[in-house]
Amino acid sequence: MTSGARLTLSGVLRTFGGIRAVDDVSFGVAPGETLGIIGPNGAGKSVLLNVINGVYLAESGTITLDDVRIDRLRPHQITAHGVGRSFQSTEQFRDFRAAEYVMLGRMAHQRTSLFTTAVGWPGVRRSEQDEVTRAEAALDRFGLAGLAFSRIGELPYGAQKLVDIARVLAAEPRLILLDEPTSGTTSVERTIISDVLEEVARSEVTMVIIDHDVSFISDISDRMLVMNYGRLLAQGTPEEVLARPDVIEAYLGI
Amino acid sequence: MRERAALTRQKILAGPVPAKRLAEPAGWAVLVLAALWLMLLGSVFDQYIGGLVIIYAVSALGLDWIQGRAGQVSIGSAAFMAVGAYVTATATEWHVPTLVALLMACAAGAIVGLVFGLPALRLRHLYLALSTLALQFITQTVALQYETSTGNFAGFSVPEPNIGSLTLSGRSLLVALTVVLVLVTICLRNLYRRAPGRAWQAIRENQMAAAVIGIDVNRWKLSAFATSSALISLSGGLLAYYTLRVFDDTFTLTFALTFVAMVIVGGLGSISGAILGATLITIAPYVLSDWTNDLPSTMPLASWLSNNISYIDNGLYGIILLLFLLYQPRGIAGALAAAGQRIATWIGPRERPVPAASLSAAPAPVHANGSQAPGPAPVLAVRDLQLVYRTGALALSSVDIDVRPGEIVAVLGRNGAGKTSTLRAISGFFRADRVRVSGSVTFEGRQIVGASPTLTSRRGIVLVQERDKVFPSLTVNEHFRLIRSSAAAQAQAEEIFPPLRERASSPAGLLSGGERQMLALALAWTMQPRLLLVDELSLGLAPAVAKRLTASLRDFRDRTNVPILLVEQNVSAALDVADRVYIMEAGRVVFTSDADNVSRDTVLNLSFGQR
Repeated sequence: MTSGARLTLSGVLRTFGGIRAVDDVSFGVAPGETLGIIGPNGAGKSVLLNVINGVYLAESGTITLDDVRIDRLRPHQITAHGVGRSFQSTEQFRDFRAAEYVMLGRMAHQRTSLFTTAVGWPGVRRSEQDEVTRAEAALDRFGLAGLAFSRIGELPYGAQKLVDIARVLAAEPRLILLDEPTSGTTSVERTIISDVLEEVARSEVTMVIIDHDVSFISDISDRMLVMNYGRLLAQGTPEEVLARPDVIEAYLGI
Repeated sequence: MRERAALTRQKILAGPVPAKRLAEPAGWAVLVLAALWLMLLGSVFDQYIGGLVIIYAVSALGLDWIQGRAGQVSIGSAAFMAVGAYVTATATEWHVPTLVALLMACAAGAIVGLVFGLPALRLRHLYLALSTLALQFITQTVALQYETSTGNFAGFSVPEPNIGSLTLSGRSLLVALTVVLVLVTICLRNLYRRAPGRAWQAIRENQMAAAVIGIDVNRWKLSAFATSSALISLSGGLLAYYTLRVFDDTFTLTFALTFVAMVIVGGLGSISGAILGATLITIAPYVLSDWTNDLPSTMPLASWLSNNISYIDNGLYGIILLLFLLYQPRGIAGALAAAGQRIATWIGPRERPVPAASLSAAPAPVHANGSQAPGPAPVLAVRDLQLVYRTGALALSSVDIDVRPGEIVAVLGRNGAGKTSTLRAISGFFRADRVRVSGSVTFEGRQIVGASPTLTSRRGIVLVQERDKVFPSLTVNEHFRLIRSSAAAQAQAEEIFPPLRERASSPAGLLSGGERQMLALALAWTMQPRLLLVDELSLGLAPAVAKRLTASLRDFRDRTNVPILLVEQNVSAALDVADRVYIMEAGRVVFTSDADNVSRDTVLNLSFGQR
């Protein structure tokens, strides 16, 4: 049986020491759709992304990607199945050069042999050169080609965020999970990031985005989910969702 | 159009161009010159030490591989060298050709490395180091047994190495060793600059993030263990051929630690660093004993020094290691690179400083009625507070907040608006995180901006943090004892929060979220604060529990008149107790008012306002 959905969660549960961080969550994302997720601090949004890409195992429920179960796979296997995920911060990779970091994102698609690499086999050199070209192209898409060989830690924060998104896109995933792409950025950087993501959203890529910038996320999303206390509080078009009094109460606590 | 947009983006996002690194070529030049000098002009003894340096450098490169690249702590160098040495010695007894014997040493090292890499899939840091320590002791015992059971009580003797009919010794052996080191260096450079190097580096930086990016962490860890162990075992095999003897006394824990010293002194994660470290640590004892022998015998302690220098060096290693760990954790290679950078910036064009945050001018916050009325002097006055993370993210900009005596002030706003950052900046909890805090924070008339948490808490500022605010393995009672609270204070806390009495002897980790909050609040009260900072009291709590906790805050204030600065996402809970509110958005205060004047709609407009 095929559902036609790119991603389907049904009855997903994940607890931490008795707290139900993700509690019986079910939803689907259609191919090409952009789904926005909002909710207050601690509502379980990041945990939800971590459950989808295997960082945390779901205690019950199923997750399928194009009708293939992925909920028992390890993170790198899920990534190899075509799920790309951005990080809230690229701080841990500050010593990487931007192009190297983008190339890292494509490792799941490469076969690397230590021996041929060590002896400098011509085939390895060639494919490495291809990867560099591809990484530069991925960065170029965001106007970052000139920074390909700068270290991530030396880049302004907004550029770091873009490099991370470039890394995700370079792996040509079927599904992209973005964790707070605009948080901590200045208003100028925010405009650039949302321009780029809107461009990505218009292409055929399927995206799930968590963010707190309500105007950004409601503009970019085809559909929105609201989480509170680990549960789905509401879903629908951005206009529908943001007009609901229970959403306003949960999100702003009024 | 698109191109222009891309150009503008680049202009806005462009950081500084990194300075050219001069250190590496300079380091290589020094090494090549040293090798040439040694071959052409060195004495036989110098050449002997030179050979040892090369063999130890190979081993150090193996350790740097596993530790500096893949980030897996290991003190198993001596054990892997022993494996290589004994396999080589045994192979020569079977008259195996030199190159084949060395390959066998590598293979044996790879297998042992693979087996002892398995714990690394689960263990990290100290525990991993301890598991490699176990390998050290196992190997020493096995080596001794092997010697006795084969009747080689004084160790194995090894014939001179040969390639075909050419026997290698003296200068020709030195040339062969140099060739090995050069080949190893080239292979390692190829690995580190390409996909494998990136995979290992990613695992070293953050294992979980690496897995999410798509790297098979287990596979790459094991491959690093197997290959680096093979290299270290190769060095053991070379040592066997070089000293013509293999004896278990060589491969001690002290010997293993010498290699740790080499890579740390040289600089982890640098090929030239490992070679440099191996050189320095290997020749240091000889240089020292030369130096002590040359001391005039009339100098006091001179003879004692020259007699005892070999014992002193071990201690000296410890001291050198400690000094490097404390003051130059990136080793000599790191220091040279930094010096190279400095020279490059001198002679090169000036770098533009990174714009910390190009925020547009902040609009002045809206003051609603009443908030400007002159009240009593504030207990806490925050002025023009700015906070920039080391990543360049701007968390706060020109934040002004007052807390007057006996007042409850609430800071409201969405996630990421800068509320928690404000509290942490006030209490000093940012000091360790390389965060730039500027502006002014005065508490009871004294400037405390940038003060440590120890200092601010001594002044009486107590922060109740969000989430992990209790020690999960200590019981409720133990928490009270920890802060030396009086029995009366504890009894009073239990009266306000009866669950704390019922669960007095259960570990805090087993308390519910609400009970943990109660415990954290009760502890804060018994510390007799002069200002209480409370972060997200209602986070993750059911509405009824949240209401009860916020109400208890007001009771506390009414009893003690201690002012409270409260950060909340739950606006209605906060409006219930607060006298005054600030609303933050994107790191700035956008609105201040008396709580009575704030309606639900005001907050709604301000927080969803941009729509």
